[in-house]
Order: sequence, then C-alpha cells, then structure tokens
Amino acid sequence: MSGEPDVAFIFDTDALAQILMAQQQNLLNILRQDFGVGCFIMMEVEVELRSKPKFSGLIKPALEKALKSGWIKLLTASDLEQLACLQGQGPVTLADIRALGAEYALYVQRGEAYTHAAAVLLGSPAISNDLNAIRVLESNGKALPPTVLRSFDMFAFLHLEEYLDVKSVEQIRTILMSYSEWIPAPMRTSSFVQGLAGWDCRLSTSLATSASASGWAENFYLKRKTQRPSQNADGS
Amino acid sequence: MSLRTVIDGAGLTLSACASTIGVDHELFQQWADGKREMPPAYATVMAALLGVKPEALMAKPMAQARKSGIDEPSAIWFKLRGHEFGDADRESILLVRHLGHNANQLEKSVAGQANRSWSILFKDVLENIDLQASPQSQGRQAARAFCGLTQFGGGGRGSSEILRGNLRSRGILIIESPIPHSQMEGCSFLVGESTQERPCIFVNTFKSTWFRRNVVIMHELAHALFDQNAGVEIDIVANDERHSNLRKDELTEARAESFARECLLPAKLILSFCSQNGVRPNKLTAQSLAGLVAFSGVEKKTVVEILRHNEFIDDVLATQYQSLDISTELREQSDRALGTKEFIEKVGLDVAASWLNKRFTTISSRKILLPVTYVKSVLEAVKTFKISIGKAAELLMVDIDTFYSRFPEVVSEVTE
Repeated sequence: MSGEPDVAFIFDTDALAQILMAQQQNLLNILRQDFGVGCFIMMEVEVELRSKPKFSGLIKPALEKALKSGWIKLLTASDLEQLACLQGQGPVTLADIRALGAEYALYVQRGEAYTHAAAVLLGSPAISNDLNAIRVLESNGKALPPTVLRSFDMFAFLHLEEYLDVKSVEQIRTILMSYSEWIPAPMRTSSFVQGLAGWDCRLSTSLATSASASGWAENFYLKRKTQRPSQNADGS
Repeated sequence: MSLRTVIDGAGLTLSACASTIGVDHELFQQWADGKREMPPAYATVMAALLGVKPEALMAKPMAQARKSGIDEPSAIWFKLRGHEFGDADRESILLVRHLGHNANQLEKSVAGQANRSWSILFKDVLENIDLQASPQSQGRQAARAFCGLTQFGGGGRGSSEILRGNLRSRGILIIESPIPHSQMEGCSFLVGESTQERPCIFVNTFKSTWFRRNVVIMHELAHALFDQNAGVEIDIVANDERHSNLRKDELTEARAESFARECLLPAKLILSFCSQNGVRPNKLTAQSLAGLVAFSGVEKKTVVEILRHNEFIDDVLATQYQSLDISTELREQSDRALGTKEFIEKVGLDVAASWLNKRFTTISSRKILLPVTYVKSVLEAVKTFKISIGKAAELLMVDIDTFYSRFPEVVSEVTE
C-alpha cells in the first residue's frame, strides 16, 4: 500500500507484546499494505514494552524491527494531523491526548490509559487485551474508543483472510500458552481453529472500513485493498 | 544540564531511579542524557520522587529549568547526601516518595482528590502555640491541642494502638520498613506533587520495637507539624551519649520529643494507670513497669524518662528502673512485644499468614514494607472497579505476576 492509511489502530502494551512474542510483527505490515491500517503506539506503550522484565529478550528485538521497518509507528504530531483529517474529526493534538491520558492513568496503567485516550480522541480502534481495564474506565464514566480489538482478533482475522495457515495460528496459540499469556477461553482447551468456532472475532472485511456504532465490543470492518493471497497464488 | 545532573545532585544513581519507576535501564539512561524525550507520564512521577517540577525533567526545557532553579532536588536529598547515610537510605526514601505519589493517585481515583485534612489539623494545632514559650512548652501545648482535636488520650487509655489509623485517616503517610545497617531511625518530609504535598513519616523498623516506633512516629509528626518550612527532618539512632546530647540540645529536637511524650504518656495517664492498678509510680516492680509500657505503648526507656521529668521518681530510682529487665513480663502483657515466631505460635499460622509476604514491594531490588491499610485500600479499589488490576500492581509497586500470585481471590472476583 502506498500513501496514507485509511484507519489507525492504536496498540496497547499487552496486545502488541503478544504479537511480538509470537514473532508475528509482519502482521502489522500486512494490515498496512493490504487493508490500509496504520499501526501506532503511544510513547508510554513503547516504554512499557521495553521495560517488561519478562520476555524482554523476545520483545525488544521484535519491537526494534517493527519500528525500524515502519510497520508500527510512535504517534507523532504530524501523524495526528493526517489522522484527524481522514477520520473527519477536528484537530487533535498530542497535548489533548496527554491531558486525557493523564486522567485515564488514575484508573488504569499508563500504556492503556494513553492508548485509549488517543483512540477516543481520534475515533480509532484500540487494540487491547485488558478487559478489566476497559470495565474500570467504563465504571468510572470514561469514554471508550468506538471499538476495542484484541490481539487474537488480529490472528483470527489474518487466518480467515488466509495470511496465517492452520499451522501458524496453532503455533501462536502454543507459544502464548507456554508463556502463560491470555488466550481466548475457547482456545485454552482446544486448538486455535476449533476454538475459533466458539469465539467472536471482532474484525472482518466489508466494502468499506467502518465501525459498528453500537459499542466498543462490536465488530470493526476493514476494506481489502489488494487481492486475497490465494487469488494471488492462482495468478487471478 | 540533564536529568542525570539532577539525579547526581540528589546523590542517587540512574539504576536506582530506573528500577524505582520500573523502566528499562538503557532507556532511562537515554532520558537522563537528553537523548530521548521522557514521556510526560514518567516525568510527573520522577518529578514527585526528586521533588522538582515535571517541566524540569523534560529534555528540551532543561536549560531554562536550570536558570530558574526548578531543577534542584528537594531538601530531603540534600540532607541524605551526608556521609552518615548510604545508598540503602537514599533508595528506601526514593521508594517511600514513590509511595507518596501513589497514595495521592489512589485517593484521586477513589475519592476524586487527595486527602488534605492533615493541613486543617496542623493549622488548628499551630494556632494554639505560644511561639515565645520554651521549646518543651511549645511541644506540650501542641500535644494538648493535638489530643483535643483528635481522639488521642481519650477514655484514659494510651493512644498507641490508634495513632497510625488516626494519622493515616488524615492523609499523613506513615511507612514502617526495615533498612538494615542504617543510622536513620526516622524522618519526616513532604511527598507528592508540589501542589498536592502531604507529610510522610518514615520509621526504620530494623532492630526496633513497636513501643520505640510509637515514640519515633510522634516525634517525627512534631517535625512535620513545626518544621514544615525546612521540608525535611531526619533523626538518626542516638547510640552514644555525645550524639544523644548533641541532638537533644537542638530546639527542634527538644520540642519534638516533648510533643511525642505529652501525646503518648501525659502525667494524667500515668496517674490513671496507677489508680486502676493500685500501684504508685515510685514503687513500680518489673511487672507493673511492664504494665505501664503495655498500657501506654511507649518503650521503657522513654516511660522512665517521663516519670523522672514529671518528678514522680528521682534520678536514683530512674537508674534503677532503667536497669530492670521487663522483657518476660512485657511479653506476657502485650502481643506487641512478641517476636514473629512467638506471635505466629500464639495466633495461629492462618491468621498470621493473611498478610505475610504480601506487603513488600518488588519493583526494585530495594524493598519497602507497605502499610496494611494502604494495601487494603488498593485491593478494595480493585474490587469496586475504581482501578484496574494493572494499576493496582503499579500502586503497590509490584509486577503484575506478583499481584496475581499474592491476591488470586481479588483477581478472580473482577475477571471473567
């Protein structure tokens, strides 16, 4: 994909850590190239990722690679200008996000506080696995992003879109389970594919990129910008 | 000029600061050298720890901060640079200051604002002081005003059992934690962001008794009350006469000691004890002296000094009382005198274990023991969805895995 993204995904620490631990950082590139998704993190998330004592040997090099390749970016003032335009929102500044983030940080960790704050102000999906933090923000009357996706929404979506085969998704599940990471309940006792049948993936494709209007736990739709991998393979 | 200079000026190390706020050391070093911008969320925390304005720690305005002097660390760090203090002292105080910042955060998330009722109490007490009176008299006047405004000394009982809860309910932070081989016995200083400061009293529990610590807490409270402008007072263990006399000569020390004694064991309380137990102050046995210590919650040495000061006894009797070994009698009369092993044997492992190993911080190699009330407040905030589990771990200064293993019942209550 060339040019500007159609939508921004703002990643929280726990969700991005899972993608990096599973060595699936190239998924961020697929999202950008084939679905017009710009993947962003806040500075606070970068600090948390670099400071995770557990698995830092896995996470740090993968993060470096993703940042260096431009598959994921630290959200800057110039990104904000572009994103505000494409979301049809008024101008959003880093100062706005920092002010709201500081407010959210009274209730949840810094990374998720600034992630949700950015996603709320930009009207973008946040990618976070921490349901408890979302419930806490909700119970304190704080606004939430239009959609909150989880790392497994990415894995499942890219599996259904044929970027990750059965072996790859099963490997992701096995790796994350071995690190005692969160995985969806239906996948804890069965395989990724079997578990997927009993789990609602919140990410799918449609004719246009859009969010469901009814709440943060509803589906988000991405518009494919390229052909499916299988179609490419067929030469069609 | 850089964050590194501010940290060096405080006598701290980069690695201690990085550990205390849970940040990768390499990244922190880049912040310290101005190679990368420190995110504001972290600048706020570091500023509260060092006692500087957050803007002083942002990379770009550093030069301006130097000109305006807002990059100079707070008074506590100047005091702690003294040769009598070591890294253990400084790193423990760093953690305590972090706790002060966290306590403010907890109160803001639960109650909407930090508890500042201490400032009203302090103001009311200070209004009752004749500043031209002797230091001892000022201490006593303050103690009487303080006891009148709180429940101290009520019902003819000692106040030691209620003092921690009472002070904490007014927003005063009290931390009792061991710093082995430190000369610091106690100190008081302001913690929190400059607009939301609160007094913090730190007491070193290493080789100290609960009875001694009650005196130290009230002594440090007097410093917090009278010596707010100094920003910090540190008391070191007076283990030789020369040192002891040097400290006692100082006005502030005399006033603080007088305040502590009058709050914890005023003459009327001694008479009340004697009347209730049919004993006379000048006829105390090991048993009855232990009874007075248990009743007041004040260590024997100070009790005897108070008896002497009030002229209930003469110097000869004071020396005789000081030489009495009351340890066995005291253990029989107060659970507070029991060692950990004896206490567990008495109350049972289940009761004793409820807080065992659940209050130490793990974020850095240096650890402090958090107050039970603080840990309870954090857990209650989690259970009522006021804060997230991740935030709770941050406030308790432990990693998330430690939180899960220490408090599984809380986690299961709020997660699916």
